[in-house]
Formats: sequence, C-alpha cells, structure tokens
Amino acid sequence: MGKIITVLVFKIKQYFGSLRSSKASFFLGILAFLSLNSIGFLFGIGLPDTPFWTEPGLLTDILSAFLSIFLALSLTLSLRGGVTAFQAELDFFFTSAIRPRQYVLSDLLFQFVVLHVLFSPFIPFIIGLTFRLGINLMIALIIALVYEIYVVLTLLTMQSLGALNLVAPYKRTKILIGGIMMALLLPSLSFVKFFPVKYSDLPYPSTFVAKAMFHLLEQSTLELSNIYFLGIFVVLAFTFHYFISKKNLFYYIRPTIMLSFGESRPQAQAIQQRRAVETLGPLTTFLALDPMKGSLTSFLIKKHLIRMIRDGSLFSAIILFAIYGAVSVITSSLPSDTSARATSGPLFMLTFYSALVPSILAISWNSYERENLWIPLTSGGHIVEYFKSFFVALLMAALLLPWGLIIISLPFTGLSSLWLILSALAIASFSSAFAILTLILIKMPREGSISAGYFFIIFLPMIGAYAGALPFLTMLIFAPDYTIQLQLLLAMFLISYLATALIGLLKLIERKVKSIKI
Amino acid sequence: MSDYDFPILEVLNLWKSYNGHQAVRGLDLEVKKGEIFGLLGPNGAGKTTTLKIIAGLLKMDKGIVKIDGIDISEEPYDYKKLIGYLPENPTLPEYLTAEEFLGYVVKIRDIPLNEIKDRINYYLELFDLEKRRKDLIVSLSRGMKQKLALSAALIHKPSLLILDEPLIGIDPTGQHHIKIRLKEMIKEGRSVLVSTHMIDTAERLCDRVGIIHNGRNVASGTLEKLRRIAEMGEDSTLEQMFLKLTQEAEEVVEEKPMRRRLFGLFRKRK
Repeated sequence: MGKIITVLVFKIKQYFGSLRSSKASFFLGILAFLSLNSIGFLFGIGLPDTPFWTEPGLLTDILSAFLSIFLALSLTLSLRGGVTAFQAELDFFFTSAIRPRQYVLSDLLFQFVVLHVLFSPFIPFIIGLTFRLGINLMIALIIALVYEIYVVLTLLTMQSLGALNLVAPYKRTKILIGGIMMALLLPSLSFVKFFPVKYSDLPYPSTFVAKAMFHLLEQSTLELSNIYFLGIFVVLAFTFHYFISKKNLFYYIRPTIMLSFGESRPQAQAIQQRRAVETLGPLTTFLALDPMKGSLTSFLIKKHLIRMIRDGSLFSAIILFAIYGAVSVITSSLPSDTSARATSGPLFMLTFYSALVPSILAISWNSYERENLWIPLTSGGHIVEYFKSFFVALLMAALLLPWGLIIISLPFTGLSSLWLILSALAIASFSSAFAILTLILIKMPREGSISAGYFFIIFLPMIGAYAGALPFLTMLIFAPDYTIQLQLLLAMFLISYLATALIGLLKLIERKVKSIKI
Repeated sequence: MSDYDFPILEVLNLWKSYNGHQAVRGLDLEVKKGEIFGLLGPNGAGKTTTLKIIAGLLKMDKGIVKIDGIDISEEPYDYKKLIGYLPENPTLPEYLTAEEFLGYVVKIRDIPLNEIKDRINYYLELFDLEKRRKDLIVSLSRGMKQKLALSAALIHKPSLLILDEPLIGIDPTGQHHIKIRLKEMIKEGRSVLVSTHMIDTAERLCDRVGIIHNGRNVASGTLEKLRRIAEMGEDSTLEQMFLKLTQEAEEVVEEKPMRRRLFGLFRKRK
C-alpha cells in the first residue's frame, strides 16, 4: 500500500505542481476549480424549475446517456493504454521494484482524484439538488455513492481494456474497444428518433445507475435489482482488471501526459502537436497547398485551414458542435412547445459555438503556430495578409457548421433563419476579430504555469462577440413580431453596422500587428 | 575600390537590453559584399540577439542597421526583401509537407509565378529532399528539417544570408554540402553573416571574423588582422586568439567597477 500511495502522491504533485509556481497560478487554479464545479451546482439548483423535472422517464434517459457517453469517452484513453503516465514515472518508477498492479492501482486512484477535481460536475450537482429540494442527507449520500461506484466501474473498464490494448495491440482489440464505444453511443440517437431503442430499455450499467438514483429521489428507497445488476458489472470489471494487471505492463506503457494542469511548455506542446499531426496529417495530405493557384490571401487562408485540420484543432471544434447539437436536440425534444424554446436551442448552440470556436482555434495557434511566425516576419510586408487570412479562416471554421445546420432547417424555420444566419455571422466575426487582437496584444507565456493570458483568450473574444452582436441577438428574439419589410430594412441597417465595425477592427489589427512578439 | 569592398550590412552603435540585462552594448559591425562573415563568441555573448535585430525580429533600443543602404527602421519591408534568415532552432510548420512549406515561403516572398516550381525543385534536389517532398515535415529527421529551413532562407536569392549556428545537428555530409552551397553564394556576389561558437567552422568557412563578447565587438577582421590585434605569432590559431581577446575584454569589463569604486571612495572623502 505504501508504494501505491507514494506513486499517487507523486502523480498528484506532478499534475497539479504548476499551480504551486506562484500565488497567481494558485489563485487561477482555484478559480478554474470553482468555475468548473459551479456549473454542476447551479444545474442542480435550477433543474427542478425546468420542464425536464416533470418528465422522469426523459430524465432517466438523459442521465443514462450522460453516463454512457462519459464511459465511451473514457475508452478513448484505452486506445492509448488506459494509464496516465509522465515521462519521469517511466524513468524512475518503472525501473524500480514496484509491481505493475501497484502502479496501475495508484494510477486508478490518481484518475479518480483528477476526475473529481476537474471533470466531474455530478457531485456538485447532487449538492445543488440537495440544497434545492431539501433531500434527506442519507439519501443524498447514497446517490453520491452509487455515482462513485459507476466512476470506479468506468475507470476499471477503461484501464482493463487499455491494458489489453497494450499487451495485445491487434486490430481485434481495437475493434472490441470501438464496438463497445459504438454500443454506448448509438442509443443517444434515440433522442432524434434515429434509433429505435432508448437507454432506459437497455441493460447498461448507466441505466441501472440512473434508475437507482431516480428511485431514491422519488421514493427514498433503494431498488435492489438495479444495484444487483450494477454489482455484476463491477465484479466482472474488477475480475478482468485483476487478471490483466498481473502482466508486466511496464514494457508497453508510453508517456501520455506531457503537460500538467494549466502548464504551458513549448517542448511538450510540440510533442503533442507532432503526435496529432502524425495521426491526422497523413489522412489529409490530399488537401494540397499549391502556390501556383490563387492569390496570396486565398493561399494563406487555405494554409491556416490545413493547419487546423492536420493538427486536429478543427476536429475539437467539430466535437464541440456535436455536444452543442446534442444539447440543442435534447432541449427541443421537450414536450413543452413555446416559441421561445423553438429558438432557444439553436440560439444557445449558435452563440456558444460561434463565439467559442475562434477562442479554441486561437489557443491552438498560440501553442503551435506563433513560433513559426519568424517566416512571415522576416519575409517582407505580408504579416498583415497573414493575420487577415487567419481572420477569414477562423470565421469559416466558426460559421461552416452552424450555417450548414441553419440552411438544412430552412424549410422549417422560415424568415427567422435570416436572423439566425446574421446572428451567427456577427458573433463569429466579432469573436474572430477579438481573438486575433488578443493574440497580437497579449503575449501568452509559452513556458510556465497557468496564465491569465489563457483566460483573456477565452473570455475576451466571447465578451466582444456578445457585445458586438447584441443588436442581432435582440432581433433574433423580437423580429418575428415585425413585418417582413421592416425586418429586411433592419437587416440591411445591421449589416452596414457589422461591415463598419469589422473594417474598424481589421484596421486596428493591421496597425497593431506590426509590433507582434513571437 | 572594387564593388566587393562596399559593405552590404552596416551595424552602428547597436544597443539592446532585456529586463534590465544589457545584451548588446554599442556593437559595430560591417559585412562586405561577397564575403562570409563569422560572428564568433561564447554562449550569452549577444550573437543571437544581434542576429535577431538584423533579421528584423527584435526591436533595437538604439543604433543603425542598414542593408545595401536601406535602413531597417525606415523601410523595414524593402529591407527584409534582401535578407534570408535561418534561426538557431528553426521551428517549422510540421503539418505541411516539405514541398508545401517551400511553396508557402515562395508565395510569401513574392517569387514570380513562373519561377516557383523551378526554385522549389532546385532546392529539394540540392539538399537531397526530393524523395521526401510529399512527406509531412513532422516525419523528417532533424538534419532534413535543418536543410529544409536553409532552403527556405535561400529560395528567394537574398543579398545577405543570416545564419544562426547553421551546422548544429547536421551530419558531416550535410555540413559539407552546406559549406559548398555557401561558397557558391559568395561567387554569385551575395554575402553571408554566420554566427557560431564552433571555432573550427569559423576558421575554415569565414573570410572575416568578428569576436563578440559581453555584447561588444571585441575585434574583427581577417585572421591576420586578428593576430595583429591580439599580438600573437603567425602560427597562432583562431582559438588562441579568441581566448586571448575575450579574456582581455573580460579584464576591461572587470576593471571598470573597480575604478568606479575608487572614484566613489574619493567622492565620499570630499
């Protein structure tokens, strides 16, 4: 046990170590922890006031979907071994007398801790719900315990399948992991009627957990059948884990964590980018960059887009779109049919997606591409074109999917689509321009711990996007009450406003870019 | 006075400090047309800072930097058209193929459309990268990446090529090719400013050498001139001269605070 704790403490210190580098880092870390967890807490407080609360069947389905997606996403780590390891651990622990099982168990505990500190909104959600409804403390504790059992089950499954992938790195192992992921994700299509079976109809561990929790909430008793089936899954996972962790996994484990929480280190980022490009790049070389075709600006736009595709940052944006799409679909699948809700789903998705994507892509640019700026900077007067084309590339990335979705839904939404299209354009334009301005004006440290620069690059473009696009968002809500003529007139007026604002912002970018620092 | 005696690069009274540390202190430098000029100095002497200022990547605190009479502060874009730059650790967009990367450089360097293909092909062949042209840069070895970065610095035929430690990480064959290519450039009437801390490289490659120490140009000239400055015999090597000159410069720097201390003492007594 002593060795397990030693490794666990080392891993925790290594992962959260960058927070200790300065008071500011520590404060920002606490802020990140509170903001991540407050989402779950606020959701718990607010849930009983939403129409979801009156639909316990739908709620069970949603919770089961959430837990299944959580397990499916965890399995992506199985494809990389299921164990989180720093390079230092390979050098020092793997060459010591520690047994693989001891190491794997300490890693399981480490993942459990990290998950609860950073990525688990469920416990704060239960606390919020307990506050809001005045649930008996014992019942709340049992609900939390059921959830924790599911988390352990998830980690055991992820590690076991990861270890299997390490010792038997064959296609069939990957097919098995991929198959389980598909089985876990497919029923989510039932929310849009593309799949006949709902989560609540399937014997998934997530379904047993969701049913047990709602039974506890509604009747304050534990339905033993659900716990019994959940227990079977846990025993199976534990047995599998017990046998697979006997193998000498030290031969196969490769470092998976390059950066600590909030840390920024060019060398590690370069390794991460190299891995991403090695994985995704060869699949996309059919998109060639041909200097013989097009103007310099169109060439540079294509270059920026190719970078986003080959290093996987655009892929992250697409995943984000899928998440917002799922939230939007679930929201619109509610029985209540007010006109406000008809627009609230797409509005939620549009504003968050179009405002957030330029920030995500700007962060990846800062990590991977800022250091390559020496090429345009030493080449003459094209640094302005470089950033203008970056603006267009960000705009395209932020608009492509929402516009696609709006155009597909055009026959159902009518003239309100005009305001959706314009709102998306305004939000994406302002967010892209502010993201570039932030990159130019604030040099984020490429080396060191969590920095305020990252908060700026996330929040400034979003604030700029909402502030700039406010007239469009207002129209999105109120325009349906106006005549078509008035709507068209207002649209023309607001397009002129957007064009003027953008010309001003691009001029500012042009002026400030001359002093950019690598 | 022949055309080759005219300076292509003039650096006068260059100053640069970072966070209170004076990296460059009144440095003067001159590179003539058709020569390879070596900037030799220990680690932290200010070589990379000087080269970054000359390449237009860092803003100087004070001084004049001109290439072919064009001042970097007055006409930065015309100035940059004349230079090619290879950083000490060139970072390349690893998500591009070797061919795409050179395409990006020629496009941003305004190479005429009808010359683009020929130039890309020429440099890929010259540095034995032809077979890897369609491979992503991420998959190339360190030496190949260095050769690709050098191709990017050469592809627009600059008047002055600025190289920061160009031979580090390159195998002996690659080093040989690069040296030959630099000599060819000189024959074409162009110039090279190369920074190195490898004395044998400077001795074999450079026509003239500038010894930089603590941000100052301690001495510069041909080997014979440096021997005279260092007051050393004909059989002395560049290494011996370098050590003597940098040691002398160190002593001069150390003397100053002593003088200041003494003067301070007298002032107090007054």
